[in-house]
Amino acid sequence: MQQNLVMLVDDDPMSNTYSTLVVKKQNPNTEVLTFNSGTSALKYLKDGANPKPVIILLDLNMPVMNGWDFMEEYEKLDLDIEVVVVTSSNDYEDRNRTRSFHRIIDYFVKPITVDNIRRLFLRNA
Amino acid sequence: MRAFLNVLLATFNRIIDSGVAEGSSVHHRYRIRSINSFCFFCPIISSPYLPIFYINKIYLAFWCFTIANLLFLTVIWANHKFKFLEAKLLMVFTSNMSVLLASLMLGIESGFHLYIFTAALFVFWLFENQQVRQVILTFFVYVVLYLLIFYHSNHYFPIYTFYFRIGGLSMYDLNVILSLLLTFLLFYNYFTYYKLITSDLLDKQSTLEREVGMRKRSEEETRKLFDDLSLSYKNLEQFSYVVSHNMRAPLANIKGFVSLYDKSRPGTEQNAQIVGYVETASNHLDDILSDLNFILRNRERALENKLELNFQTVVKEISQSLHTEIEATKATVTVDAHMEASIFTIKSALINILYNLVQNSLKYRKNFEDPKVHIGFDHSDNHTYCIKIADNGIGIDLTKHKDRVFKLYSRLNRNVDGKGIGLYLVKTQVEVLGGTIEIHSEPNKGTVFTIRLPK
Repeated sequence: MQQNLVMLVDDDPMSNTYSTLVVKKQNPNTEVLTFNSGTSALKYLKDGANPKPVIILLDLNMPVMNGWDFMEEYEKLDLDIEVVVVTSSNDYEDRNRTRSFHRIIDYFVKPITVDNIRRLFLRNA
Repeated sequence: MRAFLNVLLATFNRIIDSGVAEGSSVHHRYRIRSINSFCFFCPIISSPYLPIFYINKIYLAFWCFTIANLLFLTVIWANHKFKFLEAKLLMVFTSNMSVLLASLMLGIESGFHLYIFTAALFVFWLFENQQVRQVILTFFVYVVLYLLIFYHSNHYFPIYTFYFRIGGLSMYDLNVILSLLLTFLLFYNYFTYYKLITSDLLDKQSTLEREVGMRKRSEEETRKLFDDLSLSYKNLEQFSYVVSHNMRAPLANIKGFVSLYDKSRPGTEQNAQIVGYVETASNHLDDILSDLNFILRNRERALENKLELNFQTVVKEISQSLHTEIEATKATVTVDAHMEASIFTIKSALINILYNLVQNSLKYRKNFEDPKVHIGFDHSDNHTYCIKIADNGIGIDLTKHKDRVFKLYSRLNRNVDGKGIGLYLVKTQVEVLGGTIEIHSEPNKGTVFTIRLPK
């Protein structure tokens, strides 16, 4: 696991751009991988040669394979990378559903802030 | 003297009116008053005889008369207590007994038959038609007695010094004829009454059934309206949820980028980029609001009038509007419908539905195969129109996406441009026409949409 590597999974490229800016603002040394779909992200993670990120920021609302579909496939990989759900909705049911996946450690409402990222790294450290 | 007479008259009236209540009908009043009058006068008339009997030591007669008189007074008492049925039965019994006794006094030999006759008369006079049981009961009593007349000959019942003869009469005897007439009257009365109440009951039953039927129908209508309303409400809920949900994404981006804007150093490269991102996100937000407008305007189609349309003509119109796309993709659009086949529906809704579906078939075509769209129209069913739109495109994996196909903003293919509102609009239009839409599809094996519209 590469300690300064963060993975973003979001179909909205603008959202990814923003999140990248925020992560870099919190720590310019952090590297960011962005994926526009759950399938491409899973493909990356399945390949053992690829450096694993320390955290995955996952969007829920994506076409074809949404955040929940991704989580179901991700659990099958049995990797120990923790996941944070990042979404524009503060929906109670969505929050509840994160409890059913043990790798999800937090729930951020967009837009994420520098503080969010800082706390995340503090927890992980 | 006059005052005494007045008091007497008043008392008399009070007694006669026993059992007559405030709201009694004229008929009831007449009957009760007649019964009471009769029951009042009989004792008065026979009371002079009482001391005569007693003095002459005719104790049986004395006691019979006394008891009869008491029973008469009891009839008045029963009426007073509003026990009309008991009063009437008592009345029949006592008056019969009185007739018997009177014939005894007068020495009428065929007194027994007189008894039967008068008793029957009383029955007709006293009992209203509603009391069928009493009629039947009396009827049976008289059958028995009638048989006694014909089938027992010359029985003599000694009553003190008199004898009563029962039976042994000829057919020409007045009493016999009267008894036959009586039997006939009884039968007739019973059957006409029975017919009357049966037809009355049947009338009431059919009225009731009709009312129940009407109530059931209106209940069903109400339930259907309620179901429609519930569905509309559910659709509205889903719609507003999805739209507001989808507006949050660009809005979150705007908020985020604005927070990154460095106000202390306005001219930087990053700030310029951020302003650009904010602009894009705002446009995105605007798009979603336009979608909302568009979707809502589509719902107004429901208010348009229905027209008789030639199906082939409609398809030709659609092919013409999609003319550029059809040529560019080398597509073929075919129709399977009778030349004269027509459909009675809202024109703009039907065009919208078919246009969207055909456009989708062209958009989601296979890469190396010319798209073929086939539209079938079947109106052989008496109640529904059946429209099928089949294509040879890339298909949809329904095992994964069955629930999402018609949902608003649900996109199932990343490679093809689309907002995810096309099929949602198709479904709402179909629902506006009161119909249903089904999808059958497999990846790489094309798609078939089946639309059923009520006639």
